[in-house]
Amino acid sequence: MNVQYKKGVIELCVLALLEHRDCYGYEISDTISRRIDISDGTVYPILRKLKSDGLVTTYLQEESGGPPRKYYKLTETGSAQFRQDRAEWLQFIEAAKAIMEDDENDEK
Amino acid sequence: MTKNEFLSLLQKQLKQREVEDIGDILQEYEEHFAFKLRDGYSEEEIAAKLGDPGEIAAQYAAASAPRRNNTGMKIIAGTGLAFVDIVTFPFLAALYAFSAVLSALAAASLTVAVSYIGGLNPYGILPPMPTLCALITAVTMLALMALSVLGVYFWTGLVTQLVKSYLRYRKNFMAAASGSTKLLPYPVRLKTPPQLWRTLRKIVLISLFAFVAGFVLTYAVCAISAGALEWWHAWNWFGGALN
Repeated sequence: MNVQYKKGVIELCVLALLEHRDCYGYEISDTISRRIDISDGTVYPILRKLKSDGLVTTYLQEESGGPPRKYYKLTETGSAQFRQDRAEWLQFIEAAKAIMEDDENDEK
Repeated sequence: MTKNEFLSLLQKQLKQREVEDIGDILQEYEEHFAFKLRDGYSEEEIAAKLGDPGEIAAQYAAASAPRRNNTGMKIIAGTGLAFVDIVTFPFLAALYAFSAVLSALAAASLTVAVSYIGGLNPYGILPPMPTLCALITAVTMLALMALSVLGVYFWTGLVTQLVKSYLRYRKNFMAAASGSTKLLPYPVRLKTPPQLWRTLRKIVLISLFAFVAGFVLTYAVCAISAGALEWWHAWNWFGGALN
């Protein structure tokens, strides 16, 4: 699949993970790359972009036996943006799926 | 590629593309290596799965680049907004002024109510009436005060939302001019919690009823006790035009 195309969806996936709870960078990268075939390095620039857009913020938290970890947290704007984008995206794939399946039926 | 090779290559590429906060970015990838090493992967495997440092650097550059080189567009957009502001800000200020008017109404109603109940008459300004009429008028005035206080709450809240919405619009307008990401438009509605909202609605309905009922009752009681429909003339409120 087109990499550029995937990246937009991954942005939405990152927001979805953060909607549940705050995560540190590796957690997000790991969760996504376990399920979606992308290079591990892809998620970090996305996190950076989300932060500069004001959709997420970061804070440091001490971990037992290690340096403090940088956690990502959804802002109010990020949360609102996610809910809207999610609804649009789900509607979009629903419609796309219907069209593609119609196509298949016609050929048979 | 080892961890150090990967990181120094990434650093070089980021510098070339003038990305900001390089230390912060490298920190993130160092952490990534640390986690993966703990899971038993080799540095080479980890670096390979991360992808090409040049490509990663390009993604960072793409995320922050549009912010820089659109000064011309920004100036044009900023000038345009300045002209819109000349109209908008006084308009919004005028909307706030209505809150001040409603506050004055609330204060005046309260003063009248307290004066009638306490039998005061500051500066001799209140027209005299029998005690019963005065008490009913006081209650009516208290209802009017409740209505205007709530009016201040709703109106001020709404105008504040409007101001925020306009500020968000300005921000998005500038963001569009400089090519950075736009935020969602700010919705203009009160964010009163539902429970408080229901309570306020109840108070509005009760006050409205009390005000209308009090108004009618005042007229009726005054008319009866003065024995005239135009009781204000009977009591010579306006300087005895009829007498």
